[in-house]
Amino acid sequence: MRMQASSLLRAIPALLGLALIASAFVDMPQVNDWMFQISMLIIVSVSWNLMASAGLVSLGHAAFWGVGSYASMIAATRLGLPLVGGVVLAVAVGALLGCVLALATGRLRGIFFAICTLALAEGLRVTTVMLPDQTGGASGLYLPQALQVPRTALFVAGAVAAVICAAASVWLARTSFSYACRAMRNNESAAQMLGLDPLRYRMAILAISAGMVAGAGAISTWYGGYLDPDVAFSMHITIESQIASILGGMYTVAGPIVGAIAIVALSEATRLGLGAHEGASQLAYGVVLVLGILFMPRGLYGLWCDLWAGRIAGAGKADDTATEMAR
Amino acid sequence: MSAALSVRGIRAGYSGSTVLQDVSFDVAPGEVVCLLGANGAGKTTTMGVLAGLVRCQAGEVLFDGADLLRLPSHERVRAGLVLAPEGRKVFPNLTVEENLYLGSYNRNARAGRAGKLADVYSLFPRLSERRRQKAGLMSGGEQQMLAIGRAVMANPRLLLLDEPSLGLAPMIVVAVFDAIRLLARSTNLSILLVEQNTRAALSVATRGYVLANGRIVHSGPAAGLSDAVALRDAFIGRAVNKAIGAEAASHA
Amino acid sequence: MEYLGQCAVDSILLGGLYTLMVIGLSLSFGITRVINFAHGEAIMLGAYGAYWAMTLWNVDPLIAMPVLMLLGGIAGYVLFRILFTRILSAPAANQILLTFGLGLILQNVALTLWSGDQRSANPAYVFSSFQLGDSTVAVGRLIGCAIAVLLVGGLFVWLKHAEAGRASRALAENGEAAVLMGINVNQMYAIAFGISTALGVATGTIMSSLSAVTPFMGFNMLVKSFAIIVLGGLGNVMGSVAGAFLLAFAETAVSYYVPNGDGWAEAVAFAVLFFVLILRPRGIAGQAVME
Repeated sequence: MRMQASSLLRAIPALLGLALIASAFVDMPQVNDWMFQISMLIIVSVSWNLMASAGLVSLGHAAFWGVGSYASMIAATRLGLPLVGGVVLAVAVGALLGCVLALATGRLRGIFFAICTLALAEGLRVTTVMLPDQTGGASGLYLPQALQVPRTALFVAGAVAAVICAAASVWLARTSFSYACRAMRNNESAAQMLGLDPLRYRMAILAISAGMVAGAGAISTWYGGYLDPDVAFSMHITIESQIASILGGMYTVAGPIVGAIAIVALSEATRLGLGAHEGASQLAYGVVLVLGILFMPRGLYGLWCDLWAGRIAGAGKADDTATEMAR
Repeated sequence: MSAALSVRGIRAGYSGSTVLQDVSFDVAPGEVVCLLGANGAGKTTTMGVLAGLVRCQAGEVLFDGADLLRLPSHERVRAGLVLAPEGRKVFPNLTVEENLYLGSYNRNARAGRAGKLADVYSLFPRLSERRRQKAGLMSGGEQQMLAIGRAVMANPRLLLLDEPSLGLAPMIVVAVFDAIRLLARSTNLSILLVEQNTRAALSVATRGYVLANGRIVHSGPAAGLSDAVALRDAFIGRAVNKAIGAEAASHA
Repeated sequence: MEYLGQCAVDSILLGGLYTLMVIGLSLSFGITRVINFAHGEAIMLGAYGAYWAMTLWNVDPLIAMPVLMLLGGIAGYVLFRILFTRILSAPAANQILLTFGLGLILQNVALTLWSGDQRSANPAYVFSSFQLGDSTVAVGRLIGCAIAVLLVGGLFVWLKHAEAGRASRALAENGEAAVLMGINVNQMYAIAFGISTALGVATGTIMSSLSAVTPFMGFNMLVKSFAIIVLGGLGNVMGSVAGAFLLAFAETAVSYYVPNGDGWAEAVAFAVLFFVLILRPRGIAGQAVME
């Protein structure tokens, strides 16, 4: 019985992934749109969480997103590069940016690294505005009619990309890579003494993370069909990528995915409840961020784990809390 | 004016590990008491508990008959319990005089600040010479004088001195202990002194306790205690204690 | 180099303002070691406060300033006691995200209450100017700079001579030793944070007549403040002053001498931030703490 239950549990992620891809073929525009949002959000939050796991707090995921978006869009308008080529190009350019960022930031950590990423995103946005000949500037770029693809294809692409990224994070969590990340998060010099080369791990993490987000940016660009600096380097991307991880549970594999679904649900709920006011969803995000950090630092997934553990060892757990409080 | 301290069965430690098992001792008003022991015996942890830097897990501490552990650290200073910490911990980028002023930050000490400052400068003329200098630029001995002076500025009724001889040259140790002896004569001050330098500590203290592995293993008048410590070392053969005894002897 | 004199005048006036903008952030970080990503929102709220005082009651921003600073200071103190004391020993990631989230809330509350329209408080003197040699000096900017210098000077006097100022410097150097001086650490942190917020509000009050007031104006200022702080060394208040003038000069020079310079000037802060962090993460002045 027990064996069956656990193998069933293990099959759930795979089934969810299949369901996400399959949902692209359902002819319900609203559902398709939700699933597409969830797919994109899974990618950015898995990526953000991967970096956070190694102690690299990003406030500049918009930089990766925007670079991927622009790489694919410029290649499409100039060279007529189609969707698949555009996504591959975006991933490559994003990974390159990740490597450059890793090399440039060297051993910067914590606040310094976060500020650096923030500056990168805003700096790229301003640069894009200021180079209209290359990027279309503030008036933006439109995807050529000839390159547009059916929506279903984009939904499939988004879902497949999300499944690949989620699978990659699951796989990485099972290798020694995750131990290296945790060691770096806790103490980079100690990690170095264990024989890890932090720079190589940083480059790998940043290349993978940035590549993921850049690819998602490219797919999303095809979905929108239009790109300008404010869309490409929107603070929204940065905020959503961190908030999904925090709500779901930082440093876990399931956290970002749970969080992505919860965030889409939350933003739809605020949209339906408070109308399409531009500040409402961001306000809700801010509240979630603050309350999450203060009261639920392990996220929904952590909460679920606690409840699950509580169900198994109910009495023992209660005793522990009692003694903890008595102290 | 001077205060009495009564420590009853305290247990304390840091996340997970217990350093002090069951420590009890007393300091009577006006007395100079020393707490001896090897490295890691729990001396600094004891001081931490008294100053409120280390959380006490069990036991009680009475300061002039009142429950000390209920007071937050900064209020203990105002009540008159002042610690000159191990490793001196002066504020390196502040001047000597600013460090001393900070000593009398608590409200009970601010009124008598000018008088106290004069007292400290006459106790340690070196500090007076260097009053405008940044504390971090001074020698270890001068910093120790500053740490003690800063504590005196707080208008203490019980002065806690944690390893004042640590890392100092023998001649400076003598100077520092001369100053402590002068302080000890003042009628309104009790002193609790923690030392590894047994000989120096027993030269100023009236009574002493020996701490080992988080417990008090010996206590008695200063005169008898040095023999007891030597005897204990001989029995248990603790290399660390012996080394310290030898060091103390060479200093004296 | 035909605009050299004008460029110098503009840099100095801007530098004074930048000093005020950054000094609060630098102060709160130097003492509490929590970097406040919501500092820009204190500036933004100060600007809105001045704007509404001007619009509703016809009160000059400079007259409203003391009241707004007091309100800001109290708000900062209370906020710190409620929110920040909980995360003082939390990992840097949690601190960054909490303050970031707080900023997000304030931005969007402002957006919801007052819309995204650009506004501006315009007392009459803002539009006047006079000649100084070949250069034009805008009176609004001169007044702003003068007030900034006064406030920053006041802060330095407080840090140097006031009982609490001295205690806060001690706290910045060694928290544990500060406790042993009888300093109530959490209260001192909250006071420093309150002063920091009040200085942010003062910056916003001045900005309300010099630039557009919008819910998102704070973010831009936050990034510039970071550039300055990083330039001067994190937590180094004197370094921040030097950094403020350096950034002001760099921005002004770019806007005068580079084609399309007004747009590129916006990127100067990012470039500075990025390159200083890469080349000298401890800032140009090295790792000095509070002077």
